[in-house]
Amino acid sequence: MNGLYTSLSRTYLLAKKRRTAMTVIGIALGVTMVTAVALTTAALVANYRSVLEGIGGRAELQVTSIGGLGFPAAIRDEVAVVPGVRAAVPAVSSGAPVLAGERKAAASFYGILPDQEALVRDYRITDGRLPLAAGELAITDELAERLSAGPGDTVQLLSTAGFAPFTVVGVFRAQGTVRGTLGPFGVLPLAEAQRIFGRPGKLDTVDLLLEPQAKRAEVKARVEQVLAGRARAGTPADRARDMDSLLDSLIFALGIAGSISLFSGGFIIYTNVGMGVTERRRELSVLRALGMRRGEVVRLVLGEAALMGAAGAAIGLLLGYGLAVGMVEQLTRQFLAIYGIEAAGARLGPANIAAGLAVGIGVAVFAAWGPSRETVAISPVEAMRQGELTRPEERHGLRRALIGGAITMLAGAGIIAVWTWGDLSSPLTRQIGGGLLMAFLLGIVVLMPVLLPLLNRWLLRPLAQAMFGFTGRLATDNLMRHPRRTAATASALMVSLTFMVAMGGFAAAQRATLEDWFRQTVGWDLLVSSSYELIGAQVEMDPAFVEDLRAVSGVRIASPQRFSRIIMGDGAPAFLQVFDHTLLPMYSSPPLDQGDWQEGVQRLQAGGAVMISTPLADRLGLGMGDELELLTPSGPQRFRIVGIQKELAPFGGTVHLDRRDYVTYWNDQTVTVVALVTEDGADPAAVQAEIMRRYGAERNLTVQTNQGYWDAMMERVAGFYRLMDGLIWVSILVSGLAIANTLFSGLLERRREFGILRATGARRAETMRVVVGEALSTGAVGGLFGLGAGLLMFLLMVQSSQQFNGTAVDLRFPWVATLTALGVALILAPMVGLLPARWAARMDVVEALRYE
Amino acid sequence: MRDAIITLDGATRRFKRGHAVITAVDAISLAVERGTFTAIMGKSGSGKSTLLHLMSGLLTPDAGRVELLGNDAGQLSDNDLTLLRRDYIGFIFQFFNLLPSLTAAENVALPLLLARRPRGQALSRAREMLATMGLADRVDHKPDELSGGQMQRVAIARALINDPPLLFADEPTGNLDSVAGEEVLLLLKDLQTRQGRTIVMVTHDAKAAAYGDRIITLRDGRVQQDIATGGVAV
Repeated sequence: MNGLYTSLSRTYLLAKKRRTAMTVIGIALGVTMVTAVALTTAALVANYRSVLEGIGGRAELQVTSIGGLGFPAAIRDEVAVVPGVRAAVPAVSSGAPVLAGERKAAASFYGILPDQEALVRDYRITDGRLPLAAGELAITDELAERLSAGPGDTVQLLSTAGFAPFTVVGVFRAQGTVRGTLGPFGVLPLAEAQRIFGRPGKLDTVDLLLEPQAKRAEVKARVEQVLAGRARAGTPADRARDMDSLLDSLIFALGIAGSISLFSGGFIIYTNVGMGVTERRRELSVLRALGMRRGEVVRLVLGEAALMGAAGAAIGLLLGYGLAVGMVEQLTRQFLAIYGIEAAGARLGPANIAAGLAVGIGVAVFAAWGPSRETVAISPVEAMRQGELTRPEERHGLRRALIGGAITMLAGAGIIAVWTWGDLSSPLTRQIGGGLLMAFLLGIVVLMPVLLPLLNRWLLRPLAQAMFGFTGRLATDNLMRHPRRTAATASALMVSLTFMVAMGGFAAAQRATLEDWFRQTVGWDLLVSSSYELIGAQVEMDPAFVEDLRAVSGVRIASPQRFSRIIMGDGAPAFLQVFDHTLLPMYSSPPLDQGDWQEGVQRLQAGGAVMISTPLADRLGLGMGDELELLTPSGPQRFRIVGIQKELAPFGGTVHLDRRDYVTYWNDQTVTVVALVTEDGADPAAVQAEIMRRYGAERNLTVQTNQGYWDAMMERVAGFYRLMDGLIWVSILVSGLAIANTLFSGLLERRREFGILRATGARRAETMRVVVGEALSTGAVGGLFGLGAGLLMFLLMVQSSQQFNGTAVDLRFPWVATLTALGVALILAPMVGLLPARWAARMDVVEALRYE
Repeated sequence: MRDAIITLDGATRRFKRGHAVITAVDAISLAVERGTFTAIMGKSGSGKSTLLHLMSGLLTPDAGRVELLGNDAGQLSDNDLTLLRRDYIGFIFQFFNLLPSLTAAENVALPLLLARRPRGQALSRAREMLATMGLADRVDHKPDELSGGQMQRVAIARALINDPPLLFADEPTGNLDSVAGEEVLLLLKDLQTRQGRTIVMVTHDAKAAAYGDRIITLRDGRVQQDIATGGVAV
């Protein structure tokens, strides 16, 4: 019997090469997207966790700063004597560029005490030793290779005062519980790191080893008491929380994009497998008449589906892996570098392979299940009768309408509820929201076959008749013969277009909002930073350099700015922006959501005041005139809120502070960037060139013009959306394939009808018009529903943009996205139809008339 | 002697089946005169359907010449042949070949609609045609709501809507019971005798062939027998 199965299946699959190929491609595309998304997500998460674990070493507790700003070194001695603490190992860390002759690299550097370091970490020295004295440095083998440097060589490390020489005294393997992130890094004596990175008398972390009997929670509580808000204590894994929300957003977006493609791929599989079974109904019935049992027929069909599923999954796994490698690289380069995360390559493990196969085979078997049951339910005699070969579609219109309507309405109500009352900054809420959105679309998919006849009567048929005459009408009528199949095909397009309109519209609205804000707010001509382009390895600058810049000819104002991520009282991060308010109002007047800018500036200058962004105010439940407690290295300090600003970057909230308060409470004079305003008549480009000539090489400077900064900012925003766009276009491609596939399958099924048309006088062009009309109508249905759902989603995204990604976006009608989606629906769909249309037009009339 | 509406001069048509080349119609020369009823008979695979397709312009000859309504079919473009079929030729098929998405009236009106005649006019003509076929009460029914005989009468009405001088019928009774089959044959005979149309019918049923006034029997793509019978009286 098995031999018979194999022979029947092989003959069928090979005879129907085109359909088999389409089915396999459909499955492959779906699995590609799912695999790519899963691998990318895993790579991001795994890297981040391993970074944290690497940093932690054997430490059971870790004291970390409440931002990237360090804490007083005296804290180390205070926590070292807390009962239960066996050892307290201090460290300072910073990213920095490093030069060795012509070679240049960006790396992380850690200031350590070599004798104590051994308590928490092991270093596998391959050459030389760990650094002990001033001017000494040890680097990982990876960094040594990049710089082509080894023990005895001198390298230049960027400090707050420019490049400083260091001698490499050791090379070690970046393995085990060493300090460092993934990627290259080096270690130097603690005092040296404090000196060159502008952290005199400060530390970034203290690793704590506990007494064997000590309970971690108790020790942590005692340490926190000692810290009194100047720094925080936690397990190394606790730090993951800072980044989790960022990763969650990214993973959520990736997940949605992956689901769309699986959705579309699923339709192709469903249509193809279903039609294949219908087409073979007669053959299967002969088998039944000759003695094959129902179960055996079902097994035969499901076995074939599983075979195609496995083939598609295998291709999809390979493609998905390739795509994931590209996506991880793109994400790291365009997006994650800003946050100092570097993701290593994606890895295809046995679990991914199993999941890919399960998805591919599962969807194919699921799609074949219904049609195979339908086939065996009909008596063989009935099925063998000559006549139309189409699958009778179910007539459960009312049941379908009820189910579809219920899903759509419940999901719709759920979405409104989540968007109105839910906390969209919580990943769980967002996941629920995303799930509801998919359920809403699914509801429309279920409902669509019921809505189609109405839509056809009132819109499609008149439209097609007006455009293509009788052939147009014939096209729409053909589609209505299989509302379920038409709906499935149109649904694939609908889902892709929904996300195209929503994401494209949102990206454009965000860009426009940013542009408005930028034009109003950014009044400087040049922005000076050290190693800006190596954003993950930025070194602060010393304040004396601000004076140097002010002295450059053509510079009217040199305004120091200090930025850092900080931790708020609620444990969540925010972004600290420090300005000199005697200078800032001279070149910027940012719009406030609440409060008056001029008055706010005066209050900030007077000290003890902050402005905060609207999302932060909402998050903390604070308003104008309230007090905000900030955790500083000098302990918690209270500031009066004198203005509430628009938030335009996804930092989870910003705090806007005067430099004098910052210097006082944070005990830090360093500068992140210097904004320059040039003299009237001075050429900013000439000033830029002069600064680069004087200080560029010495300090590894980047000097950006206003326009250059804007372009770079847009590039970063665009980088994220490019990825999303790429995923959406892949899903559009899949839906295009779905349309072509459905048309081809429909043509095969109705070959004789096309023969009749040709025999009774339809010219080739008219035959083509029927097929193109079918494609256009499918596109119109998908476009109509996709546009509606997309605009709805766009509206929800804009309304909740503040909670969703921390950036308030102004509502603007998404013209470009809408027109692109319409273009896809009304131009791409008929274009996709051209190929099957040509095939139909060239069909041999006599052959077609004979076709059974 | 009436004039010839179709003339075949050494018409040959070959097909490839796998690696083999089969000559379905082998250098046949014959003429069909206007107003006659010709029956083409032969066993399965004798080439009778291919001959019908050659005569009707659905196929063009690989060798020889087919003159159809005064045109050299081999020289006409696909478009011209299509228009010739649409305006001057009617087809009746064994399996009726009605479009399932259209009503009986729309199926009948199909050639007119394809010729872009106004819809109302086309449908009203189709209704008249159906009424003459005794199907006045079935005009808005879809094919799956009609019996075999009714479907074939709709197909005949479609073949006649353009008032074509030439009708081709490929096994028109093959899928009908004997009563319905006879009705159809009588209708065809009537179209010839009363309306002067030329009928060419392929059949393997000798009783059906007897309605023709000429019976051509094919064997292996060649004319085995060509006899004038005078046909049955109606």
